Amino acid sequence: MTGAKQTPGTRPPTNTILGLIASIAFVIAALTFIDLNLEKAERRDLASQARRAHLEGASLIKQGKAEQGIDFLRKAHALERANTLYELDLIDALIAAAKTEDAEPLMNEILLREPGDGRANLTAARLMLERGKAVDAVSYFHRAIYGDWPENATAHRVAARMELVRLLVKNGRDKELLAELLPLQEEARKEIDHNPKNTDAYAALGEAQLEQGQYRDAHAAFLAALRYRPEDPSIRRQLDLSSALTDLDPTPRLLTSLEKYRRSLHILQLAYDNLNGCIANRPEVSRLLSRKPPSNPTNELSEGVLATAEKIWQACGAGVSPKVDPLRLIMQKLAETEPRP
Amino acid sequence: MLKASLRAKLLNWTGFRNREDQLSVVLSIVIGVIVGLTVVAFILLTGRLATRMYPPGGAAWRRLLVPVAGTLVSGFLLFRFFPDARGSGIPQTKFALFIQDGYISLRTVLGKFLACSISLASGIALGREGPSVQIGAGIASVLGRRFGLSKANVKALLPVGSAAALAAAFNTPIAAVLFSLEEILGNLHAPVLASVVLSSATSWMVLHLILGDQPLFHVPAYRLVNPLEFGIYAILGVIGGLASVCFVKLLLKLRIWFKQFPASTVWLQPAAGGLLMGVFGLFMPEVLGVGYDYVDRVLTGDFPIKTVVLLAIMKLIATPLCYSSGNAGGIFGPSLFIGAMIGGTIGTIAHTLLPGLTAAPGAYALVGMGTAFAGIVRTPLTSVIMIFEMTRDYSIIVPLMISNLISFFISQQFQREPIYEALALQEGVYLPTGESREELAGIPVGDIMQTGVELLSTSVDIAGAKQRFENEKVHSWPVGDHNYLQGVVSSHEIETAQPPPTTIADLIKAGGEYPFVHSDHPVSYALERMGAAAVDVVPVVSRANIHQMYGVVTLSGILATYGVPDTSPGLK
Repeated sequence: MTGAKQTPGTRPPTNTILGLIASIAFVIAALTFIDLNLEKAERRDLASQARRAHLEGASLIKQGKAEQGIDFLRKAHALERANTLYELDLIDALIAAAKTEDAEPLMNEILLREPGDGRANLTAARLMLERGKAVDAVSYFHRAIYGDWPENATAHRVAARMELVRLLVKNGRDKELLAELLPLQEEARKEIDHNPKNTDAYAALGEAQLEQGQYRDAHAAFLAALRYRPEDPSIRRQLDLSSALTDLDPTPRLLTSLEKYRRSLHILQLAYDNLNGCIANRPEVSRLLSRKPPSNPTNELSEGVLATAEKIWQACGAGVSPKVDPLRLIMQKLAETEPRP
Repeated sequence: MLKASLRAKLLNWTGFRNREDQLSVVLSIVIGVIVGLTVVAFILLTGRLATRMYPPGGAAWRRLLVPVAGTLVSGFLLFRFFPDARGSGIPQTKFALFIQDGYISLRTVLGKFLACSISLASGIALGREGPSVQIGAGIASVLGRRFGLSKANVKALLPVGSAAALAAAFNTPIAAVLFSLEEILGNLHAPVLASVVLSSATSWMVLHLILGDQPLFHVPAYRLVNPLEFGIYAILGVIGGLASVCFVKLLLKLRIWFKQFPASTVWLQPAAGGLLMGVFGLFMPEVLGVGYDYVDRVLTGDFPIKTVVLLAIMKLIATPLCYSSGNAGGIFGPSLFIGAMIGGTIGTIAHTLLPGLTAAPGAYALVGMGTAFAGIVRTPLTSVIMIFEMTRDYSIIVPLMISNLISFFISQQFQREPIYEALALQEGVYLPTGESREELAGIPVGDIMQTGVELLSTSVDIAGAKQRFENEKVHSWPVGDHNYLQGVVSSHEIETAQPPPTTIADLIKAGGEYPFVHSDHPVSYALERMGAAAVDVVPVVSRANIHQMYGVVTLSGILATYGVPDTSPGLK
């Protein structure tokens, strides 16, 4: 591209042609070198700007400044579009700010790009939940559980399945819940073997055991979790719950008849207190509760009390919003044990 | 001998008539590579310079001073060293193509690169695409000349370089081909099509190898929600068209105004654009630069309407001033920006009023981009394809076409001259437009051909033939018997044939080629055929049978059509 002027239409001598070809090769090589270096510098700059924006956004969201935080996360995403982490954090923030309409196109974009990504599917499940599409959410939870997790796969799968379990509990989908509990326990145990300090795995194991009526084991799991995260209020709450249930459970074999009767009455009392409005006109319940405990109660007597409590639960409890409380869990366990008279 | 014959066969098979044809094809690829690399460097360098001038978290005073300083520096460089690198680059490329035999100097290429990098990085409201076109065409011109191509072939390389540049600058290889043909050449059927496609594709590949596969804009998948939206898109076309007219008229008026100042102030004038940008940028930083980031945000519907309206108005004022004051930079990017903002505004209003019946505002911003481009640059076909390629979203193509055409027609109605031709006119240059070329070439041969003429019989002797030429006042005439055309003979052929012929039959070869045209061919084509065959009469024949003659078209007949009296002496 440099050199002597050439008159148009006249064929340059061979030497000049060779010189030109060499010059062109040199120019191409030089330009490629410049471009690659500029591009590398540009990419580095953009990545650093995106990282800064992401940190700023995450920090603002933690401070409760959702709108400003989302702005920064959007910037981070615009600067580094291929970064799935930034995009997922932005979607999470949008979901939290109830901007699900804005989140959905971004979500579709990621799922199109990485349909098997575990975290993307988990976020999609949360988005579906937020949009009231529980069936779709369950399907995304499953994709998240069986999807790709580049790091700590078991821990992430346990956490994802745990969220699914909570959804199923909330929606009262007992059959599907039972199908999830066993694998949740297995995965949590596997994760604990692999990483004995994983608090979430202990908590998930505890939850699964709690749902399966293994209150004493659940209590032990929550206790272990609390050892690594003593300030966590949710673990503390679950520990208390498992403790209460252990004290309330009338099914252990080694219980004395008196203890079993006492616990049965306690359960009946709870059912009565919780569902008071529904059973106002049931004199036999008041009679049972006001009766002085017999000095030598039999197991049959306890079973009778429990049967009454279950009847009340079945009559009134099904319509009540199923919360994670001792009564629901104990009733669930009682329902799974042998049929009562 | 065998080697020469093989070579001839190969050339015939490939369609390469000579060495220059082969060299042009090879050069198309080389141009694609070099232009692609240069434009990528231009994009990256401008971006890096801009980052240095506006560091993250930089003080507000930078937004006032940097555009002024940037335009002063680039203005001085343009005035002192690179006067031909001023402006957008598209009209300059057309000047080179139609007036300067395809000549663009290396100095202009370097000047455009340098001055534009500085001025665009400083935040003025102009784009990088027009300059890229001139840089690309310039590289093609330099290479063509260095390889000793003829002027015609150097000229033919300019659209090749332009397409390569646009493909890399906009990441739109198909639109780049269309633009080169539609706007630069003004002819969608130009014979350089293959070279243009080759260079565009090569340049695009270079871009992808270095910068990866990312579209210029990221658009969610929009679709037409309700047929009622066609009406809203039509309104967008009208408003976009009117805004385009305002933009072009303001730009042209300001250009005339700046031209009134003494020549010694030319170096200072660009600072006027810089100052306005500084003032605007101080209050609204989003207006600085070409603003593709904000277009992206509007396309995803993530911008408050107040900001969108303000940005549209500010850019509508800032871009004409920046351009007219003599800065180096293009109007492609700003026209897309303005269109996106207008579309975003209309979309937001429509979506607020009819939420269930309309798509998100981003869909309107997307269509708005094409609308403003079609109205300002006046290349409706390119604009549709360009938006499609930029966004890779096919679902919105029908509304885009409707809106674009409305905008194009409104713009044509209120602003007769397209912007680049009008700018050229201000410089005293009459560039041929696509429309004018069509008008010139539009007279079909059938309109002026002489019918009922008799063929010169093959049995006529030479003296009889000469007598016929004299009677008809021509130098050549079609030959045949019983209304079966067999060829065309000229007086020159009769004079120079060896051995000297006795009858016309001696000059006619069986199955030989002869010049002819069809009645729907333009007269310009008939002239070309006359020139190529060195005759002044060509027969007009049937498309189904070239031996069936309908009439003849003569050189004097064509001249008479254009009002030129026949002064040829004939054989007299």
